[in-house]
Amino acid sequence: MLSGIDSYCEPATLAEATQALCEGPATLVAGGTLVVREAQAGRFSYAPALINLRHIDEMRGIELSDAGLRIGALTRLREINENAQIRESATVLAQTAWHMASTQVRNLGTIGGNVCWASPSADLTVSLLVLDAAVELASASGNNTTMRSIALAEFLTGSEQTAREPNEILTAVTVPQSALGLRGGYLKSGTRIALDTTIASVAIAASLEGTILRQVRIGFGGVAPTAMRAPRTETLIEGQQRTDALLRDAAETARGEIDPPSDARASAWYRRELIGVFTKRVLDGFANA
Amino acid sequence: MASPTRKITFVLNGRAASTSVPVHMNALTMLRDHFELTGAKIACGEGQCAACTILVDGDSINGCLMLAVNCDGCEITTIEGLESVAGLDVIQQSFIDNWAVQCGFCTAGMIMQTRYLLSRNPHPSEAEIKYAIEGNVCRCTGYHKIIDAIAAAAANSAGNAE
Repeated sequence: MLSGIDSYCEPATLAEATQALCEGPATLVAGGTLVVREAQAGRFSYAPALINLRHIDEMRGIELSDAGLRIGALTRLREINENAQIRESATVLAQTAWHMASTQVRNLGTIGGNVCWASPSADLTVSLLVLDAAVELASASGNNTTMRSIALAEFLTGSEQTAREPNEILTAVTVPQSALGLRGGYLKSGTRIALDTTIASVAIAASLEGTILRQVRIGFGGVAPTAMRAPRTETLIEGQQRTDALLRDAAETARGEIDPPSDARASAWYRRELIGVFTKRVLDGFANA
Repeated sequence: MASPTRKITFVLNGRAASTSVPVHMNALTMLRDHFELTGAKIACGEGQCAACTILVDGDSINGCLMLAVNCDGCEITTIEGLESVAGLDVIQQSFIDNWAVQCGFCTAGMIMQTRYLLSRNPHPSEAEIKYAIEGNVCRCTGYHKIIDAIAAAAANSAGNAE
């Protein structure tokens, strides 16, 4: 069978994996839900080396500390949906994972793979952006492994493009303490979420003091080459009373804050409408929480 | 140049199994071609229909999206592994009793996904059943009877266990 793959390895440690990456162009695979699917469909070509990350313990685990939340890159979408600490401290993220794909895909797919693929219709990056997330990247320098951290906003450079260097492995996603403990909600287009690629989505995290919305963070997905924050809509809502009039204004501002594409899946007009409606609905949900 | 191969060892339907696979082969192809277990179906081939659902260490996954090499060291269960000497699994029987099979192509995947659901949630609500099988497509659209069969299987399993 032709695959374009000449060599294969399953490194036992991060150090072994970063060393293996120094030897030439490689495809990194974790859950495989994107790499395997796209390769089988002929839309993706494997690099000469295939590196399977499944045994690397340094890339596992969900840890909550004073610094914030650290989610290992091999954490499956199912765990993000079900983990009690994530549900409590990063509600918007757990909600987003609930809305992603099917049980079977969530049992395979990982947060690291999802972030590295950087699809414009990705769900997870929208709420991660809302939570000011950063990513940890590991690379080999000589016999050592060097780590760097970069804000997700800088990591996502375009449609299916990231700032990851070819010799780097994304090891974890981190969320700072300041973004934790907020209410959160996520809505995306579609009637059957397991089958629907996101046309437009809205993630919001905020605190509600009485009826006053504070620490408002809003993100949109599917309407730009990468997930995006919505600073104008955030500013409009920050410190305001959650009234019907405010929600209407927020929807209007949200619609005006984006310049979405028209493509085979939806027109720009429809994407704009969805963003307005979802912004209002997510904020509506906060009142009932 | 042919793809490199790798020898893998795992537990398949309760028995030790071993084979050598090209590193890019998916688990579904491996089960069907190397072990003649054709219960899990090849349909969409891209994780959109779940006719290929199998259990890996108890978790339901799309066999078409998982690399066969990742079966190494795992416990794999296919629809063929559900039936025991005592007869059909309670879920299989429930699908028969509730007329939840039309053309049958989605059935193995539906039943394996039900096995996963009931292992984690023995008393699912109708909403939880619908969420659980959201990734499983029945092209005959026979969902009502499938949902009935899953609810009945839950009721029957609970009765046996308690």
